[in-house]
Amino acid sequence: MASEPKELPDPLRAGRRALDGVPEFTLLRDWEWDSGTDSWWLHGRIGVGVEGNEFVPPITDWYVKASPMYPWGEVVFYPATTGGLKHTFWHQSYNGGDPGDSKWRRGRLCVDTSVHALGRAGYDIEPFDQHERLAWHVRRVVEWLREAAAGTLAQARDPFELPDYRQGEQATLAFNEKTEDLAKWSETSKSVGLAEVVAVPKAAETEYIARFRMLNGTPVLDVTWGTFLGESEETRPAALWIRLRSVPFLEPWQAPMTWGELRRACRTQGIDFDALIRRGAEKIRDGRSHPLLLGFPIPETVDGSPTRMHWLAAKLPPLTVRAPNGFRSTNDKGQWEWDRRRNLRDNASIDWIRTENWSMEELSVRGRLPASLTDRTVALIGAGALGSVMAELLVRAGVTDLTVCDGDDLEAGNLARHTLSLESVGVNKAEALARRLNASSPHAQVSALGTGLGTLGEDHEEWLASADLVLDCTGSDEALARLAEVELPEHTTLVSASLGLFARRMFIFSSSGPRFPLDRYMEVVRPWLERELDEHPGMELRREGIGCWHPLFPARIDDIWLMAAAATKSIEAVVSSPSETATFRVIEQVQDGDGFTGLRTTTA
Amino acid sequence: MDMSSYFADFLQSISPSAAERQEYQRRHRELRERLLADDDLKDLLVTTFLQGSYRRATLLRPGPNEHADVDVVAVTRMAKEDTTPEQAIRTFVPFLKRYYPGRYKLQGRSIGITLKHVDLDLVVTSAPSESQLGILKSTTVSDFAELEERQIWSWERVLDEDAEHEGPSWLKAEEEEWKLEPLEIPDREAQVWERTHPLEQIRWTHNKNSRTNGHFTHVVRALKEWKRINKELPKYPKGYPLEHIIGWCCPDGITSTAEGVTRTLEGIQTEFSENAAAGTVPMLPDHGVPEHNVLERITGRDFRAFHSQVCDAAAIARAALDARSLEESARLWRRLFGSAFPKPPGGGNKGGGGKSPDRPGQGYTPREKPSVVGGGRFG
Repeated sequence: MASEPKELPDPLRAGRRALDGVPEFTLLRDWEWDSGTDSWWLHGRIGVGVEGNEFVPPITDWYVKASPMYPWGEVVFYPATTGGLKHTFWHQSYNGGDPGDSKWRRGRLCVDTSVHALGRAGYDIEPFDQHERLAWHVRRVVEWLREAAAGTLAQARDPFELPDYRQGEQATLAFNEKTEDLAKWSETSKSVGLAEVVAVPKAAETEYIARFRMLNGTPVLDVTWGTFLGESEETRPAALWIRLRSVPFLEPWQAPMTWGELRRACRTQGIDFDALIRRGAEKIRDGRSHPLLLGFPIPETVDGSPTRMHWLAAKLPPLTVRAPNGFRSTNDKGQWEWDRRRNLRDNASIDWIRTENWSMEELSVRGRLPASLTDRTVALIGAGALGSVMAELLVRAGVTDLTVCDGDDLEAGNLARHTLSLESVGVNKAEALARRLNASSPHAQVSALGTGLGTLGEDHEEWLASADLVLDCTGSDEALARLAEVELPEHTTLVSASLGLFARRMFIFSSSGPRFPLDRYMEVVRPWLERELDEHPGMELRREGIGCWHPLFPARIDDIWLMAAAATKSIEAVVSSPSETATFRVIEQVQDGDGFTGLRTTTA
Repeated sequence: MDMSSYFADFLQSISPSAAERQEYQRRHRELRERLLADDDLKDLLVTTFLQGSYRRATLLRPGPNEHADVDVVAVTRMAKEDTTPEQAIRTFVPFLKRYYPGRYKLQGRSIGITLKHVDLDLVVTSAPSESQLGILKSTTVSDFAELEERQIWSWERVLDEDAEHEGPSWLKAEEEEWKLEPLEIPDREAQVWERTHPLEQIRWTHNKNSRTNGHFTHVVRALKEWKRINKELPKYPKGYPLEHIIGWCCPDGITSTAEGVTRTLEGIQTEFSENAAAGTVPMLPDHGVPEHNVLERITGRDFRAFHSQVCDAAAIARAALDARSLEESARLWRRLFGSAFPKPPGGGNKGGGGKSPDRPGQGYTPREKPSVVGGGRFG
């Protein structure tokens, strides 16, 4: 470790002083600067006062890495090469391998999550006070060690966590496994096969699994993807897939890092790894590198029953195509022996590829609309400013089945408040919007009708009749009049969302089929429109540039986004608890002397 | 609580910085090289070495308008029978005029050289006996100072278990050939040569340090800081005599500076309670010159006042050592050592008990709320 005469910052001193109050901790060496990692490192010892077991001695040594920006920046604990943990545990990066000259092993601990194992359930805020932060980490490591010694690091209610396979960062292979797919896998007895792998358009080094087949080519499972991925034609070398019973790992929680370790992990489950590979070997013996997929069911919580399949991927080195000495070139046995002894020998490292589950459930954990809305077939009338934002909100939050209809082309002037970009100028808004929305989700299946409702024809009627949520965002009386002419199923939810002047108000009207109640709508909206005229007497609307007669509707983008978000919540409410009668809500921006202070809803 | 981390930062703040020490080293080496190379003096000199609190690592960082003192001993071949103290010192005047014009002052027992950042105190000795010449000339005596300069200021590595406390053989004084005798320095005012034994003091301190796990010099510095900020203490004892008292009473085998400070204060309290009560001054023989009483310049009155302050301090130190929370312990140590001792989080100036929440420093205490909000927000 390079020791440079760098001045130890006071916050690190303060953090270290606080450790005087942690009796389990003994300082072995004060903070030292390491220019190789641009960090300060502390060497300490933790004695947890419990007996320990074969993996966890009662006293362990640690190196703590801190950023020079402490109390900001990272604080990470690594086991010391001498006197530290040698195995890999839950909530820890891979700790195996040879540390070489390094004073610490690579298995950094992960203690800043809210897991039950660390003695506190729920959301525990990490303090960023210079006195408290380091000690907070040390105390959690003490708890971690106690749990590790007792074998209770993974507690029943904790989210299930895979061991660290040290997957590469560059390439990603996506799969789509939902809860209901697990049952399909259970029904099939196949344990080896080939999977079709396709590249994600324009994404660097991202691929996805399109289909699982048996070795003889018969499809086992189709994988349903949205329009964007489904249209891709760039196939990649097929993957060899094998099924395991559960996560392959070595005690206590280490990912297998060599083919030998993987064989051992499989044997523990009663699976003969080589036998499975060998069955598929001849199908991929073409001189190219193919991925190897390992699939197994995993639960959501540590003690839960399995809820879905998970796939790991590794790069299989190209299997030999040569004829090894003494064997005929078509003799698979000889070639297999060659592979087994060379590329797949026990001490050869496994090159794990990053995999991700791109199922709808997985990708929308950050927040999604309820199924009562996302399961709907949506007909969106109008791809203007408001329509484009509404569509964006709905699709990103989980709606997959949406058709948008608009006859206009995008103009540069629209860009000030539209979601489309320059590349779509001159293109029909609905078609461009559909493309954009499909590219925003692996599951979206958005299509477009490039003609407006004004030219209402049979297509439109069929289309409207097949939707169960019709959303009008045109702001056009004529569109509503046309809509009112169509007979729809009774259960269809009809919503009209439009903006008042300057988008200060939004008018949201909802009802159910069989027809849009135009008269009722006009009745409830008129008083508001009159009020708006009174509020802006003799107002001159702006024109689009010199020489243009037609007025523009004034509404700034931030107002549109504000209102569209409010409308989404309104629609969510309407769809979750549908009412027998029509409802009309006006959402207004509230202003006082300081400007915008919030939104107010009036229900008529 | 032993607060070893707090003490490490405290000791660093009261000791000269690395930059300051580098400057001292530069200056004393420069003086010594010049002495040994000077045409007038080089045949006269046996060797030079460092002595004093800088050498023993018991020096405090100087205040804003003060200079640190670095003491240099020049062992000469001048026979004390043939040379008066006055003559001995005057021999150096041409050298001083040449290298330190306007910066030197002839004092009673030494030559003071005032430089920009440090004061060098040059002490001249008369010729040692033949048997001593060999040892004193050996490179280990003078060069060891260089080696130890890194190690003796080992407070930087006070938190480092691997720090070494080894030294050359003469420090161990086991072998007859390394037996050292006192040297004689001139007292111009009294017109006599006086015996002194700086090397023995150095050796004694080094060995004491080894027996106290390296904490002795820390205890000395800590208590010197206590003396510095405590206005109730009489002027004397200070400097070496104070250090000597501490050495007399500091127990061996201490495992922390906090323990050392506490038990030394309690030791002084017990050891000298009779003297204090009677108004007399104890006899503490100087290392290597046992007929000298290190405390001979101190009055009975001053010693009694000193002892009384030590009693008060001992009580505070004991409370600080036995305190069960970081905040309480730091607060009490700050009463002894002032603001150089780090504040605990939340300030250290509250009254005891009272309103501050009770936090036993052991184990995990659920926090009431974060003191600086971080995390829990995302954009």
